[in-house]
Amino acid sequence: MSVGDDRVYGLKGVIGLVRDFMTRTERNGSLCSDDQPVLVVEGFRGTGKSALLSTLDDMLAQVPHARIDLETNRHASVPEVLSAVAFDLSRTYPKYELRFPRFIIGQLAMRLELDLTDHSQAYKQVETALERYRDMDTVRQVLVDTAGSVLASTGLPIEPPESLVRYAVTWLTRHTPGRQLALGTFQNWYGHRDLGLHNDPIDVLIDLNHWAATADDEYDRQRIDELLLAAFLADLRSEFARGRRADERSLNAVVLLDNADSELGRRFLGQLVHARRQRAVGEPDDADPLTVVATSRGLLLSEVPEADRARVEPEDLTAGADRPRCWWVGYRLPDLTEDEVGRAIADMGLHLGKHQRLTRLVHDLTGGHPASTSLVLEAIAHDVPAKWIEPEAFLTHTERRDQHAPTVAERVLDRLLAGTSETAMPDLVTCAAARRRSDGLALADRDLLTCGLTGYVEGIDPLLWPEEHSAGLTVLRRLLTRRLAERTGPDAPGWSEVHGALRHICRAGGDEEGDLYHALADGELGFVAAHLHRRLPELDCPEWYELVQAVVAAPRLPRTGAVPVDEVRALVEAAALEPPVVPVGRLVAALHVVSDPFTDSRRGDVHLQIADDLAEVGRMREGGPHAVFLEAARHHRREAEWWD
Amino acid sequence: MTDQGIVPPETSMLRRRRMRRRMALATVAVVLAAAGVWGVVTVSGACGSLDSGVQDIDGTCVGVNDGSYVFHPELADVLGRIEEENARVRDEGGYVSVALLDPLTPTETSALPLTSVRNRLEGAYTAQRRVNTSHVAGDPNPRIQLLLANQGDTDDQWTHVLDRLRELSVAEEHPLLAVVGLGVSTARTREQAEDLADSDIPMVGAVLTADDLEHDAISGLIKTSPSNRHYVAALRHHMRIEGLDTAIMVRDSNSEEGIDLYTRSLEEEFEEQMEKVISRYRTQQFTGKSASGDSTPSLFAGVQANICASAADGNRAVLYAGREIDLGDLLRSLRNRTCRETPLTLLTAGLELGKVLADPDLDLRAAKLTILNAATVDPLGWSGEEPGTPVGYPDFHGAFVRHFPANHLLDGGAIMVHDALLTAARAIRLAAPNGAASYLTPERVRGQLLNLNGEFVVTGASGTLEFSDGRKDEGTGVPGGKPIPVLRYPSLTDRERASERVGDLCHIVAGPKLVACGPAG
Repeated sequence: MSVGDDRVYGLKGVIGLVRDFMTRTERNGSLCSDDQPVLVVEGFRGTGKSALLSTLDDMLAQVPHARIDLETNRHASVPEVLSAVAFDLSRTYPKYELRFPRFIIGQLAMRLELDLTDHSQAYKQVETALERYRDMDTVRQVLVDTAGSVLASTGLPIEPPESLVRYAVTWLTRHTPGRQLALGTFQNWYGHRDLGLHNDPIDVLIDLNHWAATADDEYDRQRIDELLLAAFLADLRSEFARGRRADERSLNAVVLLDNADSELGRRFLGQLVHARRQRAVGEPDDADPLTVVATSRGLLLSEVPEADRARVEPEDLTAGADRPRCWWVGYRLPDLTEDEVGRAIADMGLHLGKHQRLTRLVHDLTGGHPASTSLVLEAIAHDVPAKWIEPEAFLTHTERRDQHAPTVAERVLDRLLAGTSETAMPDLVTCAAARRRSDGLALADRDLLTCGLTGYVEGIDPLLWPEEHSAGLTVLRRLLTRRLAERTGPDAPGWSEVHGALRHICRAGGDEEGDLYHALADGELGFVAAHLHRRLPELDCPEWYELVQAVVAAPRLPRTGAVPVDEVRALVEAAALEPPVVPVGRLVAALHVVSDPFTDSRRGDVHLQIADDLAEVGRMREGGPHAVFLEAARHHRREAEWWD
Repeated sequence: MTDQGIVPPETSMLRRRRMRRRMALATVAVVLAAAGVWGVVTVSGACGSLDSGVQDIDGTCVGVNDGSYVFHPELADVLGRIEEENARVRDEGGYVSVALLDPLTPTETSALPLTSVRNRLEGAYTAQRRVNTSHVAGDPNPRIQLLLANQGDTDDQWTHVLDRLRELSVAEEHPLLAVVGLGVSTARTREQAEDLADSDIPMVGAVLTADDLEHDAISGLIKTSPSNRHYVAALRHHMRIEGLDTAIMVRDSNSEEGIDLYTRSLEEEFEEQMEKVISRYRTQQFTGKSASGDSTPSLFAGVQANICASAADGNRAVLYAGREIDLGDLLRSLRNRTCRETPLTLLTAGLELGKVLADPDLDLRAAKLTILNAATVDPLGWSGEEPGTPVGYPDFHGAFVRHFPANHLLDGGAIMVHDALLTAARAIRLAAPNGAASYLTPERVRGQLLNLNGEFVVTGASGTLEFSDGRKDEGTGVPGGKPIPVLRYPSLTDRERASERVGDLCHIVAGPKLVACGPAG
């Protein structure tokens, strides 16, 4: 949720939550980690999930941490992810110097070419190999090699961690010939696995090698994942308690997993939680010192049983608040508040005496969607409004003033639709006009979409109708609607065709509001005004005004650039309204204009017009003006003072 | 969490560990600081090198030193010699220590001026050399290391010095066996002597003329100088011969305070032994500089007027119960007296008048003033081997002038300190008949102080002295046989001489007679 280059807004609470989950407790004179949940940070595209991980990445300079994008590495395996994580955690930090000898032994064992037909031969091969592998270069390369492409994707330098080099040297110096290998404790772990087992460690390593040879088998893959994950966690526990500075490691190591909705992410985290649960049963006071923060658009937690997950709301993030104790915790990143947008604008240091107006316009335009807000503010910083504030100008701004460069609106759409097939765009544009999910579905059923009903259900519906509403979705729909307005040609239905179809759908469904909404969107001000004028004596005043407000939320065709009040006059004039309907028609037109987030800041006259029309409409009711009109009129008079 | 990042917070274990470390560091720091402070104090308070044994206390360098620390630039030569002799003694081994406890940092107003201090040191050095290189004090073994203890003026100063002396007296090797000198007769000297006596450290005073600074009052203290009663007895003898039957006494009011025991006891002896002589005139008084340091000649204006008043009555004698340092002012006042046509004789005892009379403006003859001083020594006469010259003086003189100018003998200080150290060395040798330094203790030496008689007399430069245990109040520890020459200033017979011995020569004797006088030789 970064806005600007170096400011972060709205993340403080969740960063505090991460820190809480990282904090180790002092018990009986030593530091212990508690069982902490996997923190799943959810949000719409562009909500700032990755920005949060970047921020954490930056803030964790003194704590071992690893960041892996599980979408980019969706074809990797759990052991590869573990190797990459172990590699990053092994970097040198002031109070931490972590090594992963058990895990490395397992990785080494998996890579051996053993004669699995002769167990004793395989046994000797493992012993010999482990001795042979105890050379520095091998150890240095183990994590790099076994991480596959995962490590390369982190973008961090892949130099062998110094601690590993030193570790390798230690291995060499500890070398003692004979059957009791120098790897001693680490190798022996495979015999008991901290679970009190009594297996021969070499046998287990032979089994591991065997499973790796048949890794196509899902069961074997699970066993590999389980064993290596357990080894990895055992190393972590052991390393945190080792050394002179053990009592200074007051924070867990951290793994930041971006896009954990991928199959790899769900598998990795599922295995991690499984290992933790197993461990917690036997050793409830010996949790692994690892805090996991994963980002998700919602899929990850939807597959977790409700009993195992909890949700933290932004208001729960106050200091000292109780934290949920379960294996998973979800946190939905909130959109930016108007205050946060205002703070971001103030921090830009613009020489502009209209900060509040600009703040409101930007927030109205983006709804506080962080990525959109960031891009809009970037445009404003490059092209500071000179007179009035023109949102259209923000959206059409291009980088480097290159006409071929993407506009802000295009860049926002790219962010919101990242990963979406280009072929789905026409149908997305079409469906964005629908007010309700059922309307969109009905559009698909009317054969207005190229993707058909199945394509809608699989591709369009999850994008436009997610479980959780967000400002990002609002921005997406607005921008897609603008695309609809721009649409010409016979390949896809145009603005009127879509809204006309939706009017029919709504009318057929008895949706008066939808009918009027799409009629207004389609420029049918006369129809809308007449209908509402007719309904004025029929409905309660609040009910009627609510209907009006819902209708005027309809999208508008791109503006002409005229002064808003002139736009209103033009609309009313074009509608050729009957005199009794004019106040209602003018009210609807004016409200439609000021409800449009793309309308510029010269709204003062329009609000005055609205206030007058509200008074007049109120007088049209028997019994005189209703309080709802009086209150609304007062509101718009105040608004008139606020705008240009 | 900070703007800089998430940093592992400090744990209580770390804090405890750090606290322990800090406490350890603090302890070390405190120790170092204390050592530093001690070092600074020591260095800043040290006089000379850190191991000089001399320390700045109340602005004065006091302490005990072997001559390596130069208390005053004018003393550098003699101190260097003492240091050298001490080094030689240490190199040869088999030595013990004797300390010269004296004021070694004189000021303008000190009872002992710088030259006196120097001369006393020269006498001490001469004695040290003689006892270490000859049989003047018996077997030259054990050899004597001479330590120099600056007496100090304040309580803190002399407490520091005495503490150090006590430490040295109980040293297993080369212990301090005696203290000599002890400055002049003041209340502080008495306190010091009492303090040392409590530690069984034997003492030999050089010029302690106060009557109560002797063995009868302070066990373990003997002195090579007469007491005031002996001086006054000698003066009385001469007054009778001179026909001076009346006198007006001038006294130092410091006597009342008990600060200056010398002036007090001299005044008391004048009053006791010359009661009839002084009864006719009221005693005149002044406040001497040796105590307050700020007396001026004008203070004697009233004294001078009354002296002249007595002169008008026919009186010709003035008994002066004061210090040398104030005598000059009195003489200058009398030089301009209203009755300057009337010759006056000023009688006093135990003073060293060389410096006073060196003032060119103070022409006694022109002022018709004569001073009769019952003296401890007569260097001018003895150097000319006049009748009455002590047997031991020529050898001493020869030894002295090998190192120092002969005129350094004129104030008598060198002679008296020489004899004090010689006496102490004699007692030490007596306590160590086989010449061995082993097993010698201050107590054993102290036990021999009153055995310095008979075969073991001290052949001092100021006389052949003997010390014995007499009856109570009859002079235990006073130097029997000590001559008391009465010197007249200026000489009537030789205008070139500052003084001449007059009349009979008195010697100290035990018993109430105090002195026995007769023709010298």
